[in-house]
Amino acid sequence: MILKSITLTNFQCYFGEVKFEFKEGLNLVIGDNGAGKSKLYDGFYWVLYDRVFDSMTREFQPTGHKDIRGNLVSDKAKSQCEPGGSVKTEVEIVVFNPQKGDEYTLTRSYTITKTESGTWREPSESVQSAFFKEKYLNSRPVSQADIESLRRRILPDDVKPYMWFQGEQVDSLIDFKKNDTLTRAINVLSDISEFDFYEELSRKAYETAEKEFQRESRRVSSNANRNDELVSKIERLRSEIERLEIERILAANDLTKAREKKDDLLGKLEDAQRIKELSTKSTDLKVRLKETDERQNKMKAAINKSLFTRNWILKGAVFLVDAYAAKYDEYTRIRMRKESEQEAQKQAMDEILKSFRLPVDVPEPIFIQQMLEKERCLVCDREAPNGTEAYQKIQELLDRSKAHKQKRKPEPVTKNDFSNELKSLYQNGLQLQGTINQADHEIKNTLGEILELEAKYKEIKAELDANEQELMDVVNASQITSVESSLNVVAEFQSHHNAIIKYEKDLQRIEIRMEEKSGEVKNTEEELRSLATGKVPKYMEEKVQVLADFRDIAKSTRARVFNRLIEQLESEANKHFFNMTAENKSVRGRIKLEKQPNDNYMPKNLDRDGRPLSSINDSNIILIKLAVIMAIISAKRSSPAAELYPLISDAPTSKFGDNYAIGFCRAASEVYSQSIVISKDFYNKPDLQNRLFEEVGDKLGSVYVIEPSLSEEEQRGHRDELEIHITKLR
Amino acid sequence: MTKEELLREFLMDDLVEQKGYMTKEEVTKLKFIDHSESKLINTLKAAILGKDKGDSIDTMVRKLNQTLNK
Repeated sequence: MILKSITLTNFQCYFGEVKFEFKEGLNLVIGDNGAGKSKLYDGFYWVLYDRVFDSMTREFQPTGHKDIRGNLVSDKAKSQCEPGGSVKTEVEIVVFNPQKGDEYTLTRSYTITKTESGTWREPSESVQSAFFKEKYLNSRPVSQADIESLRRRILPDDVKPYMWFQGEQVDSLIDFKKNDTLTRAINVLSDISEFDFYEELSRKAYETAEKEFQRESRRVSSNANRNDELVSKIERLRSEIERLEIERILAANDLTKAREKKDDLLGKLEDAQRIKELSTKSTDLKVRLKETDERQNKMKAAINKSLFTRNWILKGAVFLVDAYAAKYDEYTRIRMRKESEQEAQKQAMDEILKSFRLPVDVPEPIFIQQMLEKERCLVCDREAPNGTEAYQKIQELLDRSKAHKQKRKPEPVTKNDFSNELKSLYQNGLQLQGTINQADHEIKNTLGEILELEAKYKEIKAELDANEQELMDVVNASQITSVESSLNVVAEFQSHHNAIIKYEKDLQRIEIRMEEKSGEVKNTEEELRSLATGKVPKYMEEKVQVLADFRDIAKSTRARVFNRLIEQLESEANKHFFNMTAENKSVRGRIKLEKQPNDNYMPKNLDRDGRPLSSINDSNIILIKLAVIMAIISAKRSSPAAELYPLISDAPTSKFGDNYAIGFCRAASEVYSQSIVISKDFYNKPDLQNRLFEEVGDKLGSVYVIEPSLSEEEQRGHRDELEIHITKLR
Repeated sequence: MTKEELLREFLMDDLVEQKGYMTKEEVTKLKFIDHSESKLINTLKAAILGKDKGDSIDTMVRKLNQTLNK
């Protein structure tokens, strides 16, 4: 089918009649935000499905929906309507079948009426009509009853999701989390279902023939009872095999899911393991930091105690001991000197005393004093004036008396004698010197250790800070929300890994059992045949054999065709993937359609070495999906979807850059016989447009630019002035 | 897929040669309209024609059984 045109009349932002005409190949409608691109897509959707996209619910809603009915009609058309008048909105598409030359016109309209009071009467339903024009004949209306089948001919429901989609829907088209998505898409878009038909036919034909054969075998059996027993046994074994087959499918599904989940986690695992490592390191560092801090505090506290218990208070007091020793030395020297002086005086006095004839104190000192005062010797009664020798002699007598007194009572060297105490202090000082040196040594060592601990603390703290920063960076950069969940990822990964091992063993066990049972069936069938007396008609035996072969061949052919299709798909998907990403160097890897244990296939993005890429961005995922969708359609040249239905896509590359947009359009032009791409990417980019035109070449159809009469901001307050202008570039 | 392609698709299966019906070389020379004595080939042809005609599976099962009764 080729979509020839769409005409929008007073439909949403399209005021008046606006017609787009399309050709085979790539058709492009270019417009900025708010230019009416999505409303155009709505037009296609509404005319066929009576639904438009509701931005509130993010879903396509029917005309009757409260948020839809009032917004279907152009505000400008409504503003120009007089009370009592009505406004009709209408969308018409013309579809052409190039194979038969038939043309279909489908129209949907909706009319609202303005009451005298200025309110609107909005019916809950739209009106649909269709015309069919065969080649060389006049067009004729299609009955309402046939419109539905016509719609399905234009675009079958099962094909629609892969042919008509908006950018934001691409993600859900091929859902990587649902492992049968690809298989379902292949079934819909390829002729593989034809082989399903033959598989079922051959199975049923064989079962019918076999039952007939069994009936005949019983009739001609030499032992009817044994025959019945064996038939029952075969039935029992077959039902057992069927049960095992169900068990196998379930186990295979479980295995697939477990592998999927494990694969899902694989991308996170590296980060999770790193987070776990960093987290464990952080915990260790915190413990070490705490230990160091405690040890440091303990040592600091011990210093206070050691001040008294280990004499650390004397730290640095050796100089006092030395100073005291010096003082003590000075003291002893002075004392010795004084004692020597006293001794010398004493000796001198003794000499004086020895030189006198008179005994000491004769005459008595008081008389001597009187003689000195009178300057006369009373003994000899002669004058002895002061300054004379006689006076001197009398004076000496007095001195001798004093010296004698002194000799009897020697004067102490110092006023108070603390010699012993001072000596004791000196000796104590000598002893303390060792203790002080020891304390100094201990304090030095302890302070050294504390400094070492401080340095160690700083070092651990710096390491912890760096580790915490890296941890935070890894968490932020990964898809893991927290450190706790990373531990869950690791645990979950391990649990899925264990589950995979279990399911693989289960599968193996079930398959062995199935083989055993199949062997038993074969042996029982042989025994059953041996019971026959040879009277079963030969044609009947041959029939069973031929139909059994037909069944096996049909099944094997289906599997072979499907596998071949998968190989083609993979190759095509990679072709489209590379085509779409040719200009983008950030895209890496290739697509691999990986078979799951339950026989479904899943697209994976692998690196050059065949390992899954762990960091795939959203754009890459959508490109893979688009590539797979295109591959499904292009893999088989005879695909009805590629031949008969147009691709209509609104903003398929909205999440990508310019290069992706070119790549997508180029690939679409090669895959679809007709595609209508509604895009913002080429708006106001003449260079990009020219590049596209050159690259797509002959496969380029119509190109339109749509522009609103008001800017997006102006539209808010003046919707009733809005209309869309279209310019045909090609 | 045409009837010819479909028949060849089935007959190119390894099982056909394994079960001694015909070699792959013989299959490449075979045409849908060619007469064959092989019950398997005739069964396949009948199935393809029946599908092409739009026969139901039950109808085709009956027809295949009848054909092979001869």
